[in-house]
Amino acid sequence: MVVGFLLLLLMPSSRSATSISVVDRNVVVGEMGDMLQLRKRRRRRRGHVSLLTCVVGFLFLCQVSRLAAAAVLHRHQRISGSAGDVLEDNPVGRLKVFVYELPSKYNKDWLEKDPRCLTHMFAAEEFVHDFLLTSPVRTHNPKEADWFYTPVYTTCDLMPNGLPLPFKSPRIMRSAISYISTHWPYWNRTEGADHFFVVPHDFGACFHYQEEKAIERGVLPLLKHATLVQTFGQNHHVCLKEGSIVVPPYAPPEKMQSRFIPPNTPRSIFVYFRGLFYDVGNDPEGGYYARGARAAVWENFKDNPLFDISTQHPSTYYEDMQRAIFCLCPLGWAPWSPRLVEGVIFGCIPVIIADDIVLPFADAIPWEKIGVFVAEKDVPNLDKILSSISPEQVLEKQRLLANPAMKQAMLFSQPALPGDAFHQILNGLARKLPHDPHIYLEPGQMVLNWTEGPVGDLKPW
Amino acid sequence: MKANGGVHRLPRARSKIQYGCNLEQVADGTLRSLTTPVSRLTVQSMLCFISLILGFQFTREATIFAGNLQHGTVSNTLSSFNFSANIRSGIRSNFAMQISQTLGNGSDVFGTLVRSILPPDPVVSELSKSKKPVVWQHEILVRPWPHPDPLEVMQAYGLISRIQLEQRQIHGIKDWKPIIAITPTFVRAFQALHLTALMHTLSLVPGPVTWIVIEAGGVTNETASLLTQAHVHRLLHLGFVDSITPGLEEQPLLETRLRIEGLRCVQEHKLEGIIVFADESNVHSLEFFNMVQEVNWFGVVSVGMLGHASFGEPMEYDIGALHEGKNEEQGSHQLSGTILRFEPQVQGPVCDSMGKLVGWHTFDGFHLEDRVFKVPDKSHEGRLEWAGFVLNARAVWEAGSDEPVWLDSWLNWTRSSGDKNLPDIRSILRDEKRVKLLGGCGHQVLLWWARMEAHANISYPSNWALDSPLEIVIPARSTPWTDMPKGRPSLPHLPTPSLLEAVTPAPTPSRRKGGNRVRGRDSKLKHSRHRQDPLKGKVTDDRRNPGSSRRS
Repeated sequence: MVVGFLLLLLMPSSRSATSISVVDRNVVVGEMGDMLQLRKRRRRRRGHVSLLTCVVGFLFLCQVSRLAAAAVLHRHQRISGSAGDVLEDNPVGRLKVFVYELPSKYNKDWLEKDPRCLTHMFAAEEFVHDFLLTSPVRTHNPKEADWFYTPVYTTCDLMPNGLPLPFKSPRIMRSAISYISTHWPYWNRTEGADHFFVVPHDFGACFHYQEEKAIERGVLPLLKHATLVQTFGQNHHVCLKEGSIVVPPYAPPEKMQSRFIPPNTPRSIFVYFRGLFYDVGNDPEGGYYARGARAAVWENFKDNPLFDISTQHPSTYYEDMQRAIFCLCPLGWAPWSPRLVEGVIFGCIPVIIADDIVLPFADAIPWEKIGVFVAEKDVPNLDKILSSISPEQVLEKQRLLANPAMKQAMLFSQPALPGDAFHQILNGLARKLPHDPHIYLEPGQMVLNWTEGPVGDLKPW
Repeated sequence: MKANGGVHRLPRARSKIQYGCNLEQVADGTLRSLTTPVSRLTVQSMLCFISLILGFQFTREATIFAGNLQHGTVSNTLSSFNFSANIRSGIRSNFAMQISQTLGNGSDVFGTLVRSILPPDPVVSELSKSKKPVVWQHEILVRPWPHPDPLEVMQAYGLISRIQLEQRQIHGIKDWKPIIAITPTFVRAFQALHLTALMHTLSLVPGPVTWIVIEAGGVTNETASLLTQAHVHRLLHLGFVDSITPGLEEQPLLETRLRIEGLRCVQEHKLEGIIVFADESNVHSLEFFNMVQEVNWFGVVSVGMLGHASFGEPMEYDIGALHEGKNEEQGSHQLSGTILRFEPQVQGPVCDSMGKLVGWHTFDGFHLEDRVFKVPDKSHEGRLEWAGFVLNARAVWEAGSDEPVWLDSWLNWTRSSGDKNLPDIRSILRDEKRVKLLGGCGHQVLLWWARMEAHANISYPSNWALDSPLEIVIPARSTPWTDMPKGRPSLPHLPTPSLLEAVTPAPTPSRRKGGNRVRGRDSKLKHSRHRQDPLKGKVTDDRRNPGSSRRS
């Protein structure tokens, strides 16, 4: 409001105001002070009159906008997270990204070998690369870049059944980093503190699908200072580095948006879930998979008429989600799942059963207001918890979910639309600017230990 | 702007912190310069600031520790003692790992200061090297009675209905116009079947419904008793003087007169809304009532006329021509035959490519088997069922000012047709092309017309309530078990076998107006008497040998 007031004041002086950042506002105040001092005696009265009209006009505009917002309010509500109302920020102009040109053995060759990489849930790394190549934030001059992006596809080594093998990923990453550190001086300048990498695998840059081994490995030592864009997020976990940006897993936008049903179809399913409860192949005894939470859901609610839960994957999965009020999003082997994205797109309130999980874009989206969080130990009381939520709260959550900005933020849309997941990543990177001057090391100063880590990682790739 | 006095001390103190010296050195350095008040102030504020930061760090770790105790996360928990049987000492290693992580996370200056002050935790260095497992087998928590609680289920359904109400308000139709349903009826065997179904349909309409039921032959108790269960906004049960005559050829004419009587009622009471001609044997989908909300004055819908299949003109075709590109070797072998083209069983409007009405498609549903209906005469050709038309109630009011020009006044068009001719509802229109075509020019059929009637002579208990016991057609089977008590179990309602003998079922004439012929039951009685003989035989056997345990 203050900013708008200042804007109106200075309109007679024909000052163009595009995006007001903190820096600009200070400059504006300074200029205003000068102006007033110069013209004080001559135009005092005129200034007063114009000031009054400006204030009146501004208040009038305020009222109108508030009424308009109220009219729309009952359909959906504005979303503002802990970082403020940043979901619809435009990152263009706030940061510059330089994309390294790596040999194709790091990126394109993997795609040619297996095009399934573009459709599975780890496809974010490929699409972020595509997006940055044609984005207005890209700069070809590395000297003016704020962030540096390395396009290396570490999750594209697929088994025949489609799951990615992470065993070569540390070596691939190390090889890529050694390439950029020898061909460009920018890695050595900061030891990677102004570089970001997309690592969408199960446990991020720990590069393993088993939690135990992932924790043992920890985040790749060379990535200690870099910013990681990953899908894994869990508080107080080794594999979530401080300062990482958590993104949603990739879900194909066209596939989901082509399956909308009329919005007046009444939501008649109370709780909906389709997926495994026991992973008999990898966890025959039970108790390891999902820390027993999914099995607890099945054992407690398999005969409950309110819970439409099963392992059968129907062809009407997306349509069913649009007829459900709550959609369960329990953890599996890793705490994140594409069900969150699907729930948000289809307006089904996500019930998140994963202790300490960090949800995507947590500083931009207030997930506590949108979803229902249930502790794993409270799973036996899930029906009591869900049926005791007041209708007003449920309607509030549905209104927040109906906000198109919310749905857009979860999607990696092709082509990129304003407010989608790509832009949220850039917004997150922009919020971390300006860089701490201490990241710039003295020439010749080495902080990272290149021989750190398991011996198998040190083999060149 | 340089200040006097402690300028040279400020950068020295700052540089000391920058290189991570400990508090003692800082304190030593500043003690010497405590003479000037300015320097004292700066030192005090700096120390205050340092202690503030330290306090935050300490409380942060304390809350993390307490939080983990409370919630029991994977990375730690002492409370997991309650749940899992195998607790490995991985907990301690996790907690230690967590402390080292928070300590190591400070790239800021004060973090390094803290690290240098506190002694290094021996536990951290020891356990971080050991390979204790960090994931373990959790217990699957099942509550003692893992079945739905009825109170919670009711609460959940309340939640669902509230959400659906909100959905209807946001996405549904605004300003629901009331529906006026006009239904002609008369007392007969199938009346209960049809009226009950229509009653349930109208009860489900999400809006006010006024139901006008016009009965041929006057108001009867039978119909009234059927209508008591109707959950409609307003129910008008009218009687018409003429009653149904046995010959069903004239039934459509009488129905039309009943409908006109209903319209007269609308005019009399000045009812508002949309008039729907809901014949009692019609089936409506609820979507139909949503669709008719768009009517301004006169609307047309498509009706599915379900009767016997009607065949159109037989048509000759050439199989060889159809399989032209496929069988080249068999090119000379040509088949021909006739196919019968089925006409779609729909009555509705026909539009051109612009969406304008050009004609009507009719289907004569009266072409049914002779078993039920007689073949009607020519006067039924080109007749359109009233069910396919919907009009605004104001159209039948007394000629008012807001009626459009292309609608004739009500009195005129009812009088225009004589008694023998069926007044076509289209005669209300002066300009047929001005009608509103609902459902995308009738592409959606949401309403079905099916006439299913019993023979006029069929008998059924009046009010479908049995006064006297039914006759046995199939006798009940008894069990072969020997430990059953002798004699048939006599329930208070069912007559005992002795009674059965005594009572000779007499033919009870069904009383009803409209003069259905009463059918004699003599043939049935003979039949049943034959069947009763084995029964009687059993009974007499028992009587003769009370002690015998023979059972058949």
